[in-house]
Amino acid sequence: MSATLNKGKGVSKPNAKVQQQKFSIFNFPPSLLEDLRLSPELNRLVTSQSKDVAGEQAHHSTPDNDMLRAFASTRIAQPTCHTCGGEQFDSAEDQRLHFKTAWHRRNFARKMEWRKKNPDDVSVGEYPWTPLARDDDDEAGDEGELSDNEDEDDEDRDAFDEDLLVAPRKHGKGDSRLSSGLLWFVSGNRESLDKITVYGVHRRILVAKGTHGIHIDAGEVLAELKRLQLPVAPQRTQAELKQQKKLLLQGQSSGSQGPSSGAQGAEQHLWGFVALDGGHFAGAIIDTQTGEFVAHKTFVRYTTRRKQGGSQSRQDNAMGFAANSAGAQIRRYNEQKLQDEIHALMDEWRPWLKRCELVLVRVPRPNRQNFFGPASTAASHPLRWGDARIREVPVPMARPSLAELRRVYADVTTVSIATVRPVQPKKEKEAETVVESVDVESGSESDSTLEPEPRPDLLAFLHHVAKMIQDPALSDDDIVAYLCEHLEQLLDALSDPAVGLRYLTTTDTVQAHRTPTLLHVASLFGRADLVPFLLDNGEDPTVTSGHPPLFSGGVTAYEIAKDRRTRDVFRVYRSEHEGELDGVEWSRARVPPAITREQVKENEEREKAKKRKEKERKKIKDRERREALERERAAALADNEALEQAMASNREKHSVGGNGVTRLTDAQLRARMLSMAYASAGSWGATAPVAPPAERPVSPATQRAIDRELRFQAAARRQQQTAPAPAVSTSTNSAAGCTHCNKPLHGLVPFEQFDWQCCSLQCLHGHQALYGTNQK
Amino acid sequence: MAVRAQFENNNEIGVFSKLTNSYCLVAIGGSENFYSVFEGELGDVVPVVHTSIAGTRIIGRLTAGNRRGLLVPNSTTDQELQHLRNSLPDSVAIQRIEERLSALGNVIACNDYVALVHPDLDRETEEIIADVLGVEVFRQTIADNVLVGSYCAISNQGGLVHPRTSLQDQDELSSLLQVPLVAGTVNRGSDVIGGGLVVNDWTAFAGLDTTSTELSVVESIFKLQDSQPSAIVNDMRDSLIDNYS
Repeated sequence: MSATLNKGKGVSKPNAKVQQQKFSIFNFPPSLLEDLRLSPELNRLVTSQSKDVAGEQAHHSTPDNDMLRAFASTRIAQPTCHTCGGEQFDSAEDQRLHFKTAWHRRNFARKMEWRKKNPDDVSVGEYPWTPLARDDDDEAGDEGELSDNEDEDDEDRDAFDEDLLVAPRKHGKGDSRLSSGLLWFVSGNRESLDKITVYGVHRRILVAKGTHGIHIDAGEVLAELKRLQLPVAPQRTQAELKQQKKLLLQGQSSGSQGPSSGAQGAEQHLWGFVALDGGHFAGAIIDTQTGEFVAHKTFVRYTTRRKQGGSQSRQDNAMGFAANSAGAQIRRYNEQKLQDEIHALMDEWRPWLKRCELVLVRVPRPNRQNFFGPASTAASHPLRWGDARIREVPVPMARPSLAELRRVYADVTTVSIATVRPVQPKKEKEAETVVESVDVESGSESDSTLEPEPRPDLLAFLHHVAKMIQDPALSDDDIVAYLCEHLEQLLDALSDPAVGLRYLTTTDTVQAHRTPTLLHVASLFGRADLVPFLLDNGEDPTVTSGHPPLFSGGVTAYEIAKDRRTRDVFRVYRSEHEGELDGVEWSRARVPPAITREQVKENEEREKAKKRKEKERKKIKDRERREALERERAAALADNEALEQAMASNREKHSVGGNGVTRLTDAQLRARMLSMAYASAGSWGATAPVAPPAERPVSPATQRAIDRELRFQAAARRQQQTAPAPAVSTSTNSAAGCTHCNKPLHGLVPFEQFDWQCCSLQCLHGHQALYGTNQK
Repeated sequence: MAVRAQFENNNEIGVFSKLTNSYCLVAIGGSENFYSVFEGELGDVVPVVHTSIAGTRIIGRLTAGNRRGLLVPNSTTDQELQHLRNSLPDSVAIQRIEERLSALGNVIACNDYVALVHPDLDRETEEIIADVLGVEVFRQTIADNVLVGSYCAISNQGGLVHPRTSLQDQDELSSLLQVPLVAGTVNRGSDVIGGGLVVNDWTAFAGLDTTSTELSVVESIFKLQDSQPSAIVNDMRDSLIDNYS
């Protein structure tokens, strides 16, 4: 299996060591598996791999021999890529291949971006655009090769030792050479002290969806990995294999082909793999034991919009209407067909999918809803998105094709092997000696070759306490009581030199690196009452998480504190024990100047007063708002009443008859217009609050309506005055009244002929009968 | 041999001409001096074609090509295209390219095997380049400059790049192109190499301002001293005599 997994591209050198060989996640060598454990440091700590050690030898010529080189430059330089941080290649072909990788393209983009920002930066030698590290997803085959190199350049070790320490700081997150998508395991039987081989398995394979966060149970992860292990396939002779194949063929020809025939091997371990992208679908059912594809299917349909990209449905949704071009219709049709085809296939594969241990998927989010089956039959889909077996493909993937599925599957199931060296900085040693000489109680790490093993029961006790602190169900007092009960054990544990300074880092949680001591845990969980107790009993507040603190960004218990209250506890403790705790330099514990209990109380008082004030202010504001609301509502009510009155009077007036706008005085006109405006404002409904008539203040919307009406009427009157006295028939033709019956036309769409405007068709016909249909 | 020339008092001859191993394009100008320099040097080896591209004379900046093909921008008129098809050898594929960066000569630098292109060039254009010119295409910059065609001149023998190209970039490029490179200038210190110099495997033409030092660098890096088409006979004479005597 491992042979098939080796990528053809990666030129892996033959290596004597068995451990350096590639193997799949299903076949960990048993010797390794025995004492495999999740490495808490590696899964967070950024370590450098040796891969750009070669870059160290990059030529740095002085200006003097530039000239020499220029004219002696008939030679062709060593293939390198400086965009990716001085990567070197064995041959120009490798280099050219590299220039086509996504990794290079990403780095190139970074370089261009950087150059855009710093057009005149001429720094030489460094790579200020901080090239990204190679993702092992790009070239899985190269991992092993890299670690091989490590063994060979022992001489270069010292040269880049410093880099190892500094690099993570300098380049930040992007430089992590050990990919964070992997969970790194170490095997207990390390070959030497300064070199550890670590094994990386994709996190997504081992951890179910939704739990990809930081808190990973190391035990579960290991159990999962062990569960993945397959029994070694029995060696079969050629004849047996042939026989098997023949049987298989017979089975297929006899018509029992399809998923059901796959059920014969009950011990078969299957993985599913489906990928859909841009109208390309590829799916496969893979037998993990042999690495063979039990079934596979690919199809392509034209669904993505040429040049613009994106699927047609997305475009339709974005535009808000469906484009009607021929191309759009073809794509829409194809999308539908593609979905149908996938549904049919999924249905056909149903028995397999049910048995799959894992299903790797790479399906764009918008397509997910109906991927496994039509929405109407959601309950009977062969697989559901919530299924714990569904895992996203953890590596970048090109357009789905059978070859790509093979590549990605091989990539995902191959264990990445890297070699790291633990950092043993000098700084730490100094710190230890200080602690050793003065602080008798706290344990110290020893560098001596005869490292005493800490008593497992003590460690277990400490871990138990840590767990208790994290348990939200227990109160501080409970824990203190428990600790008082087991005080002897606690003191034993804390004063045992074999128990390290950072004794909790060996806990089985990946987060343990953040909280290396009980004090850290207590502080992180805001156990304010527990902190002084622990400090009393010999916990050292100067211990940092991660060492050396300068480079690892280690923080002290004070700095990790959850809230102000916990921080205050530290400061108060400092004020009360300034001189007492020998050897504890409070400045090194990074606890700010001490404060007394009174000050704390004062602070609290102040805070409380502030809060109270705020509350009062809020209350007042609330009340004001409520009152304003009520006032508004009352006004609205009054407006409504006024409106009804106005409308009633209006109706009365009309029933009396006669519009005679021209005969009205200005005052009368105004009153009438007002009433009409209210009526129209009322018809606008809730959008414009209705204003009260006459002396009441008028809302702006109503005011505008009134003004408009007035202007309109005034214009009508002006027109009439300026126009030469018309015939009787047109004299009644007021802009506001029906030509025939004088009914006001307000709010109506008049029936028009010539310059007549009638309220109804009957009126118009009547008028026509009177004056004829051919004017003049 | 490297020859100096001038186009109507302008030293940027790379702007007004395009030289490859199988053809040479020169702009239509008022005087025939420029043309005759090329004709005199290349006349009996490759066709020297008078042409304009999109009605302009800056044909060197608008086109890109090598032994196998010629790429012209979309703005090329049909008559020009027809004229080119008629005048160039049948083995040369001519392709009109629809590309936003229409000054193809500025954004593509190529020899017969490799093309360096502007990083923002269209993906489709990249494919066309690879197909028509039969080259491997790499997106690159020269001395952090995206106009790779303007700032370098490359042939199958060697290449001259922008004077401020760092050594490591030169190393990277030369291993990519598999030819030796040197950073230098033309036209008495001009860094626009592509503008001042056109070169193929056995001849180079540089602007009239080019100093003799610059010219000697050009000759040495492009291996022009004894690379007349007949030179190969001189080179091989000894071994031939050895073999057949």
